[in-house]
Amino acid sequence: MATVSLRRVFFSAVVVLTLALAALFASMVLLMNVQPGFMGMSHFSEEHHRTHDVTFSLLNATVVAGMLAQLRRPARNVAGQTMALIPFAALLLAAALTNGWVLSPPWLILGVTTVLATMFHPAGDPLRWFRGARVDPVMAALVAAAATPLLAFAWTNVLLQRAGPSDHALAGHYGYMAAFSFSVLAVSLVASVRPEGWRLPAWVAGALPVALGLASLVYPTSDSSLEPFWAIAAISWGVAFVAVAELGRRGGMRHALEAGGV
Amino acid sequence: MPAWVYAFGIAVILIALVFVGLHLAGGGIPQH
Repeated sequence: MATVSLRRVFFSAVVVLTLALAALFASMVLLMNVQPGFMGMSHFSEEHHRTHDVTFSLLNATVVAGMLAQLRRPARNVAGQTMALIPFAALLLAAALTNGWVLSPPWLILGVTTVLATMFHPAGDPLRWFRGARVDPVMAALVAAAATPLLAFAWTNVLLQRAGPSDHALAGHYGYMAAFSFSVLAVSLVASVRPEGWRLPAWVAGALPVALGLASLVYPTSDSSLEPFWAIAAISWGVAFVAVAELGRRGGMRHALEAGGV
Repeated sequence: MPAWVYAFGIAVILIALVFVGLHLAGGGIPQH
């Protein structure tokens, strides 16, 4: 009993540590804008990097959203824990496909604490987290429809990152864009498989392309911004994914109530 | 929790920390 409690305390501490580190990194970025040149960096202060900065923030926000879900009933939110691991895995994949410029301490450190939390997760063996999950065919079809443009976008950015050195490649920015594509694909896939707590990944999978689409429309001249057609397509897909997820959930609840004779 | 989770987790963590170390040893955080 004491061992279980100790594990739980350690798990909670690691979750809080992850969130605290993410807050620290976010506050450093804030300081760079209040006090230009802070730590020799200038994230969000140069428009040609704006879409890259937004994308990197979205990757970290995905980790934060997944870890926030672990603060309350983690065993019922294994989908959130899985989602929190995805940006780390996607960035590692992007680095493996390109070069070491993609490696940067913020995401590596958040990745370490997220993996640590997974090792001590109250739900136990991660391979069993998806047992009993039911795939939503409409959500899965939307993921399949998005797979080709997402992988094409990822591959374009892999090639740009490999082609360096340029201002953006040296900062790993094209690697981040590729990792973003992989992450949208993986998070939406997790949501469509519907393990415990799948609603959060469904909303995040929808929000990620909506945010990139909006950033592209607001900063059309920023490097890696989507063309208006693709920005609107990304926003539409994100809205459709969340709508389908919510309609499916309500339909499932109605069927469950009917099956129960209510 | 099965042993493979700990083994895999520790391996990934060590690799990530080595990358962080190499990055910092290579001149801090040379970002934009």
